[in-house]
Amino acid sequence: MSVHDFYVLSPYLAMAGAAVFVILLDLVLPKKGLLPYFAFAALAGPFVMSVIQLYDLGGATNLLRGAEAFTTEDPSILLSAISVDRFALFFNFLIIGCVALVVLASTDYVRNMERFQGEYFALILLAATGMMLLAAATELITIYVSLELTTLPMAALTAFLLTRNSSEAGMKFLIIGAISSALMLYGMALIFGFTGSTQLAEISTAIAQVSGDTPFGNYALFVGIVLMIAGFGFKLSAAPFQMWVPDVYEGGPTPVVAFLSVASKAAAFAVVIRVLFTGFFDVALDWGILIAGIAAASMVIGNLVAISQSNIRRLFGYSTISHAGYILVGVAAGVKSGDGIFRAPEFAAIGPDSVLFYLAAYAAANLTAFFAITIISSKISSDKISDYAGLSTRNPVLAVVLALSLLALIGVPPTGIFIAKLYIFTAAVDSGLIWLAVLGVINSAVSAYYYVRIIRVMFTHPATSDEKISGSPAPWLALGIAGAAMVFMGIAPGFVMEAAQEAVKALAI
Amino acid sequence: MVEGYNGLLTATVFLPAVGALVLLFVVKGDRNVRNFAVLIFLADLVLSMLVFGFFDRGADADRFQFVDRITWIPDVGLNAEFLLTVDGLSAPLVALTGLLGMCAVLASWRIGLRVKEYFIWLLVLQTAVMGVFTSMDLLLFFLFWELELIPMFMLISVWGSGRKEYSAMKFLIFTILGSAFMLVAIVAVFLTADVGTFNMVALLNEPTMLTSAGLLIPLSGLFWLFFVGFAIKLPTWPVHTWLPDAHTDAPTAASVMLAGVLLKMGGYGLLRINVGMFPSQTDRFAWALVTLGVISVLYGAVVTMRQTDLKRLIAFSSISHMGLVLIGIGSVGISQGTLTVTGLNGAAMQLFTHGTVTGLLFLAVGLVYDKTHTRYIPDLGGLAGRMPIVAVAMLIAGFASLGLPGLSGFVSELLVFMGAFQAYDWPTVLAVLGIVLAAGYILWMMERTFFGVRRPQFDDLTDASFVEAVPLVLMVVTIIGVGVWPTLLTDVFESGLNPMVDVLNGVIDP
Amino acid sequence: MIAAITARPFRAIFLLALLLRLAYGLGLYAAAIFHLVTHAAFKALLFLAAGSVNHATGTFDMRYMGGLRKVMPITYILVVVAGLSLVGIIPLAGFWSKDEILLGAWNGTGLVDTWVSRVTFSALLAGVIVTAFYTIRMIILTFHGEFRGGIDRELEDKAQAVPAGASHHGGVHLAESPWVMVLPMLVLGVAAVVVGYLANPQWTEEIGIPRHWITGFLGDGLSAARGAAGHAETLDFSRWMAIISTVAALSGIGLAVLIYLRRRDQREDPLSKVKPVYKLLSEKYYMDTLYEDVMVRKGFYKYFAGILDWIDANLVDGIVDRTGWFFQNIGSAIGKLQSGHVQAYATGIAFGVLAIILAFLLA
Repeated sequence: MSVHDFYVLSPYLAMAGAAVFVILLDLVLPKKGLLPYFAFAALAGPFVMSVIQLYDLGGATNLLRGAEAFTTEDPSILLSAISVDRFALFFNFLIIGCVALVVLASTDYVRNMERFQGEYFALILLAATGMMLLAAATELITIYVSLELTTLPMAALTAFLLTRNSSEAGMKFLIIGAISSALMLYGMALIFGFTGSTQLAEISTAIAQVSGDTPFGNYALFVGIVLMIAGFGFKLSAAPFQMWVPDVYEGGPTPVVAFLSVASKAAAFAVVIRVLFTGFFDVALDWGILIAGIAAASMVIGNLVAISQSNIRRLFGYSTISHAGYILVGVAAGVKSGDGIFRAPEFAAIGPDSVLFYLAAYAAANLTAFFAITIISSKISSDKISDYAGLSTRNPVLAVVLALSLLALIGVPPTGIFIAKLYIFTAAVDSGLIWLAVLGVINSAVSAYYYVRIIRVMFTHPATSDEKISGSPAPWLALGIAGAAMVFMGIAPGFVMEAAQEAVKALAI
Repeated sequence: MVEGYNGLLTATVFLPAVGALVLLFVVKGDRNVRNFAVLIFLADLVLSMLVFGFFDRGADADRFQFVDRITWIPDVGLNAEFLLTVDGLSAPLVALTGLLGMCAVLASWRIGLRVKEYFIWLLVLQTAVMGVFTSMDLLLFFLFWELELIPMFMLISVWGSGRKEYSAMKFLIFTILGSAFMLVAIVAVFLTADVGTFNMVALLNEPTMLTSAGLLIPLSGLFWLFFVGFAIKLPTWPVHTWLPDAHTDAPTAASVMLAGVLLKMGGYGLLRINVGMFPSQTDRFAWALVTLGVISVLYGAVVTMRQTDLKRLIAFSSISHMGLVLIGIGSVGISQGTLTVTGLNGAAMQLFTHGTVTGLLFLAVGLVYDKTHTRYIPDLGGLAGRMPIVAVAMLIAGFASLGLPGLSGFVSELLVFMGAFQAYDWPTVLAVLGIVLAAGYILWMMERTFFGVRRPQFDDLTDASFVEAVPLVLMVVTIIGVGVWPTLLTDVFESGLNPMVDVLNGVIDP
Repeated sequence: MIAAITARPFRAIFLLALLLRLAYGLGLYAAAIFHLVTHAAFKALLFLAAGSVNHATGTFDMRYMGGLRKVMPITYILVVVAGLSLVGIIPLAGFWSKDEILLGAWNGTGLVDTWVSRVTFSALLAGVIVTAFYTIRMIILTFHGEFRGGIDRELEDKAQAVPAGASHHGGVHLAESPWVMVLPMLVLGVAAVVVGYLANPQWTEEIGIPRHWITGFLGDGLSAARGAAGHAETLDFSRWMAIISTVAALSGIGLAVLIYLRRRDQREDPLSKVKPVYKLLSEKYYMDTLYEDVMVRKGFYKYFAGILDWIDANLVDGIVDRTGWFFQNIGSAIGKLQSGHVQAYATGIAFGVLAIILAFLLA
């Protein structure tokens, strides 16, 4: 490993280092209340390194370039494992942003934990490391390891409250996660066996030579890809792999669930895009239909079951399933069937572009909502929607912010998700998936019902008590930043859109 | 031509929103809130009148005036602009919105519950509707279209009566479903090969941009997708059932805005997009439009006759009157090259006149309800003796509603029938029957409510106060003014509709 | 018109007579218009007189009037003049215009077959008789005999409470109406007498007005409007026609006098003895019933509108509500699959994968 390799790995190392730093700090720091702020400050490390890398990248595609990487006697070992390109950096920033906000929002929350406060933040930071690596990984084993690095800390975090619900949630997460990992590994093994390599680039070359009448051209490939998608489906919270979501969302600590819903999902989508588009693109027409089907199922199941929920966290669980569906539409829209007798798949960049934009917008909106719920539940200590009655009188600003985020989740302008949905449905129509677009807009309309129901309860029902709800400044700050981002992306989406475009270009498909 | 930045429209559209923000953070105290809100609406009324008044109706004038154009989303996959402008079709509707907004805010004078919130929602609603009428970028249009949903939902579900939460939700889901279809169509238009933009001006000037080659959804599909969205808003039979509930259970001011302005968004959309951008399809499906229109007129009128709740009666009569808009648009079905602007003019006029007439009806009914606490017609009677101002207002509105010459309703109905008769004779005759039925229910309603025997519990009623009378007077003046001098409006509408007629007369089949 | 015979309310008589008059316009356009002119005079007078009578008695129902000629003589005289003019007694206005029409009907106008004209003539003549009958009946019932109570008695009989704002102004006060009301009636009275002859002198010029001025004028105008050129024929006075119509009128008058003048108790109308005919006529041939009750109230309102209303509330709106219900319940139904058992979830994943594989293999 050369110095250059360390430089390339620096954001990840910095993030992991921050985790270690927090644990060590926990040993010496008497006032545990300061831990979150230190954790937040420690994020400066990965952030700065990512910025430097961005500038260093300049016009190039990949950070691993030039003499340092490609000397023939000693090529960088990272070449075969990760690719630090704009795509990876986009997700770096997204995940660092999510972590920062979640850390801020957790300040009140962790006061309820007597011990293990340092471990809490360390686990979050470690999970973030895994997520960032996932976005950059170009090789199957690296993907697997990064995935585990993401999942295991999250499982521990889910069980962190040590209550019965929390432990149950964590257990379920762990078990289902393990099963999914197993499936994925099995799929990877099949693909390795078939193609002879674990690197996405080489896999792609091998697949290009496949021809045959079976789906995907070859049974091993077929089952392998399906199993891999099944494994990813767990992290994506896509149907039919979504059943763990409501229970985990109900039981886990709120900031953890928030983090899980946006960052973990983002990382999963990153790896799915990279794997499917750079690795398996030649059989895109086959998995394209599969993804479209999964997208449709997720949207429909998520929305329909959400209608009857009375627990706000479970409702958000189903909501996240439906949003995963919308985002998957963008993935499916990245494939167009091309012209010519062989109808080779064509890459429609607008698909993955829209996915990245949606992930950013969704992160902003969902975090806002969850942070609001965090602040509220610290006072009400109930998750039933009916207990949110009259919130507009107890704390108008909070109610308005939560209402705005709910509206954002429906996709009402002028919020980021409106633009994102527009973008995604545009991509779908462009790729010929008009039925999926129509299904998507109808589902959005249907989802209005359960989101607005919450708004209605907050604003029109009389309050059950007059106690004011407030919190310390840090969660409010997080709330404010997330909310501002949510609206900003609706009014001036150009910046993030361009970033998404650049990121996808870097995939060099 | 459609360049530059004028500022007047931006002010007209966003002043209420700015006002809402100021209300939210700065203004304290119910009285101040009310006064401030009235001030903002008054300013907006003035601005809208400026737009209407200074609109150049000359033959050489630009089609689109008061242009406000800024780049918004750059060409990265999407390509949308912030583009506000008015033409002959939208200028009077902007004026209508200003007028009705003023009436709505004055009608809200007696609101006592959560006053600040109420006026904030009303202001946001005003911005949204103004925005719809002035946007010439499809994305911006859609944005404003969606923006009006939540304020109206909140207004109905908090300050309404009856089954307000059910009605509000029904309104919301129904409308959002319609706009979902609209969104798909908008996206498909954007993605069409030669288009690549959301700019409505370009599409209006050259509808042939949407040719068959390069279309993702066939033209007829696009036409119907847009139509569904607008038909739900208009509303047309059979997607009309949200309206009676929403109108009846909404507070007075919300009913006024809903009936007077929001419904017109549907008609405006039909004229602007379906007729303006899909002329060949409008021509092709004109028979269907006329059919739906006639059904709406007659069905609406017949069901109206069964109503015993004042507000529900007026609500159903709105369904009937909005059917006329469809019939006016259907006049397009005439054989190639012979279309006159009459039918479309009638449809556009009907939007304006019905707005004022129904606005006045709801204002008067709101006052009746405020004072008598009942809307059940059999329980009312003889009110004219105690509330002459309200009675006269209601009478004028009622007569205008049934199309008495000299009042504005007559003009629009006449134009619609004249235009449509040339294309479809006997359906038009059927629609005229609807006017007869209108006379039936309007006269019955007025007689039962205001004349006849008065019950003793109503002997102490007070008439409209000054604040309550101002909107009544405003509307009456408008109704009589337009009835007596219709060129005030028809000229403006024609200047906006004539280009569409030209296209329709010269249009080549796709 | 026939129904006018039995109509009790004062005004109804006049209204029904109007119908009669319009029927006269059978192709005899000029004459018909002339008749409308004269008719304006005496009919307007009769209406004003009705108002005057109402002012005194508070009612319009002739059953509660009577003996008014003693208390309001001016009104009485004017009504007699108008009535006779209406009937068409020479030399009052109504005679001249009616005469023109009768003459024209007898001669035929060339528009219809002669036998049609003759039949019409007979009908018209019958009309004269009936008109005379009901007019005199009206005058007798209202102005002769004993006063029968007015509005007070009427309300007593009907046992009604006084509705607020009803049209009675404070009961019965038997006196001539104020000059404000009488003066216009006088003016019209004069017109009812002279307008007929003056407008259409039959033999020579009168006060500068040429012979057959009005019928000639109207006739020329109407044929010019129809594109025909030349001078339309105006009919000359026929003594026979005058005699026939006068005889008809007098017979009608005589009949009414016979039946009504000498009865003591005049509240019970003798015609009511002919029960079925009376019923038919007083219900105005049941036309009102047909229109209002059957067609409007039941046929249209209850059935047609009612059905549409039901359809709207239950079918059209019903679809909306059912859709909402469907979505609400399907959600909870699917949600029940979420059992909470991890094993179930894992099974779900397994089945999901299998389903995908099968789908691809079979498709």
